[in-house]
Amino acid sequence: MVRLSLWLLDGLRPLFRLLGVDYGQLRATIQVKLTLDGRRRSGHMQGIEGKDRNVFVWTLFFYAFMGVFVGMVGVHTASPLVGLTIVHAFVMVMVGLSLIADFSSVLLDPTDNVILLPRPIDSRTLLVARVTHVTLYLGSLALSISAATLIAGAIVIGWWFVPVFLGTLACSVALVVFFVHVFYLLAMRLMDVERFRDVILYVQMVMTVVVVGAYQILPRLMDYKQLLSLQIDDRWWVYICPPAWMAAPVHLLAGHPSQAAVILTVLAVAVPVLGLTAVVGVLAPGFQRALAQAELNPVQRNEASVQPGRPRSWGYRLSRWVTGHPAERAAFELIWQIASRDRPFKMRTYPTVAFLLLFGCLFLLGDSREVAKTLAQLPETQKFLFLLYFACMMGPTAIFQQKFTTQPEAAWLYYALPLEYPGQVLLGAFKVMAIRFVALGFAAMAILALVIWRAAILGDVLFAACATLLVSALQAWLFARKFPFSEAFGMAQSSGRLGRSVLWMIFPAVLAGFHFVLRWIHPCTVVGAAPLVFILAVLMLRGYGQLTWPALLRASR
Amino acid sequence: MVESAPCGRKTAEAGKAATSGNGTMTDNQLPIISLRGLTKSFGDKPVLRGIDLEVQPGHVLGYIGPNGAGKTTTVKILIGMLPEFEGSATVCGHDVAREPLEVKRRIGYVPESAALYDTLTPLEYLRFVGQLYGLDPQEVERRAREMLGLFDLTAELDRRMSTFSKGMRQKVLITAGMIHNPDVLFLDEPLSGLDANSVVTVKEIIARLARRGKTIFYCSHVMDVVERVCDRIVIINNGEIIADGSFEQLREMNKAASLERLFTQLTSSGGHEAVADRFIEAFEVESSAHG
Repeated sequence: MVRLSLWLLDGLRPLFRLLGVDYGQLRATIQVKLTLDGRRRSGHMQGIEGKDRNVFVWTLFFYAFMGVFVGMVGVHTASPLVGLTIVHAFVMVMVGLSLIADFSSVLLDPTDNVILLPRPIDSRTLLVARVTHVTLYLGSLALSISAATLIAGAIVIGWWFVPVFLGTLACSVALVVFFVHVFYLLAMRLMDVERFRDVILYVQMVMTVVVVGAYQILPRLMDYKQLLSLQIDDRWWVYICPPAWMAAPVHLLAGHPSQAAVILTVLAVAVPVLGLTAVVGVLAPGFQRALAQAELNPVQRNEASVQPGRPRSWGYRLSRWVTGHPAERAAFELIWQIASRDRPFKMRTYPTVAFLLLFGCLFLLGDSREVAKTLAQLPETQKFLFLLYFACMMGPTAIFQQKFTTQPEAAWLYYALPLEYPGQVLLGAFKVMAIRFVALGFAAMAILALVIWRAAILGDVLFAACATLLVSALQAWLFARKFPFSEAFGMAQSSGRLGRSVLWMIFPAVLAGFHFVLRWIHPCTVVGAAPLVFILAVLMLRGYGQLTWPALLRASR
Repeated sequence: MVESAPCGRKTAEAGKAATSGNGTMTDNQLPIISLRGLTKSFGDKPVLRGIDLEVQPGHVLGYIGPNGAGKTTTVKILIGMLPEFEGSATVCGHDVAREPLEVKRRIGYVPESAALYDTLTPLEYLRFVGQLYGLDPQEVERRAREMLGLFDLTAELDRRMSTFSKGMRQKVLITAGMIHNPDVLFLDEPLSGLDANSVVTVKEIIARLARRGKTIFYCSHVMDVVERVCDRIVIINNGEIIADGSFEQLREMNKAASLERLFTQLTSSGGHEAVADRFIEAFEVESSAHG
């Protein structure tokens, strides 16, 4: 990939000479930046040590695969306007999210300045290098997503589709660049760097969910007859919908002349050009200046990052009620703080909550095409059982992830302190995960279930809550015997992994089955059985908290 | 024990008077670094308030001062990283404001922040840096292998630097700062993170470079090293130079036994002993005494 791009660059050498840049330096800079792109870990894989493969190339293949689905939807619609609007919308969203999620670290990184500025590279060469790099990056993203559409369109509509589509793609990308720059500038004005990094994290999480969701939803879209026969020429909102602008040129040239189509085509070309001019002339330099200033005098950082007198964190308030032993309490507070701030951790756990909701809903809908009818029939089924026990899958994720961190050496603390029962630390950590994730996931599922099944299942919710606690405790007892945030990320040991995954699923299934049987006997037995389950869970946790050092050391072998 | 406020102008002037007949070698040559009235503010916060300094080639200049005194800012201006400033700065005969590229070609910089692209291997990184200096890639690789090998990094040449310790990264950065044979070296805490052997090696390298006529601009907090390595010391505080001379000259003037003493005399209001006592009291005494 890097070689290919460099080969392309070498072909454009005369152009660069014409621009007055030092080609040797330009080539070296772009080569390094492309190499860095290939090794940079995107969103959800933060912290993991890279292998020698080019990550970026895999990302491109992944997008191309998604692009196939998008292309299929796009081609099946009756009107090119609708189909291409969907395609362009997808491209713009993915490129935009990608830019913010993966590329921000590049744009916000002050390291670049420290490494490049002391060297004899003139500002023009540097600017052209950066612009070329970004263009290569974005261009490959956009092309890989739309490759399938390009081919399909060429076949279905004709050869002229190719240049026109490439043109609208370029306009889409330019527009996205404009929007993202505006976003960055607003962000720099309104918040400090730390807060901004959190925003980037949220974008990364959203992106993970969108990608997985897309795979689920896109195939269904293809069967959605109403969508396929849609004509939107006459809708008022197309004028404020950029993807629709981009779809208009092809629509127009494919034989659907209308006033709307012409206006949209003009918008498709004019707005990106204006936007890009604004970026090059005003926004980008302003952004660079703001960055340089922010890096050079960190003392001037926005005071928002330090808030004296802000209310004490929830972790401190809860710890008193939820924990017993002082060591457990201390661990609870510590892990609560870290879990609320550590980005790689959040990145690997929070999206799972979103997935749960997504899969829960999709499960309820099943394969049916008649959404309304299925919803109406739900209260007669017992599907709520699946919903409620789905949350048991939350625990394992958080509990399993809690031992990973980018700073494993910090765990020396546990060994240097006079800790009589290390299990107390584990128990404190478990409670943090139980409250922040398991309870959260369960509440989401329970609310969804109650909305559909109403008060009839209150007893079941109670029992399922206790059962979920028991299952989580069991999972922690068996699998979480390492100190939290004490291990480096790594392609986790694959041996035993499969067995573990199976076990994780068996427990909830067994308890769900138990629940089902109880209901079958009489729906009210669940209410009576719940306290028993709860007590069992409490006992198990107590044992967990009393794990000794030998038990822990055995586990780390 | 508790000293009064810094001596300010008196020391600076006295210091300068003592150095105008600058001992060692090449007084009559044109200074290789020349700062006149260098002033810089970040917003409305002044950082440098008129720095005047001349450095002759072949000297090792220690540039020390408390945090926020303006050391790093001075260096960044001298190497062309901060183009906006008042006053004049000339390095190797080229005006930094008007010919920054010429300056950058002749200087080397080792930053304190140990910033490098750590997903690269040392060879990849040095190859890139060398190419920016216009060196032939093969020549860069030859030099890199030699230099890193002497720093005991031969086994790590093709490993990504993300797994490197601070000391290893520092060695790569020192190499990157010298690989193009600069005339002036700007070093900001170059020894931090290095193991004992490498510290000695780097100190030897600095001494030999000076003997060969190269100039070293050395910023550090580590007073004992500065005492021994530098033949001229400039102390900066609050954006102004408050002392300038060889270590012996300064010591005589202020009756200080070590550079550290001298430094605290000039830059702080003292009271370190009291601070140390109260620190220990904070954890030795149970707070019941305070109700």
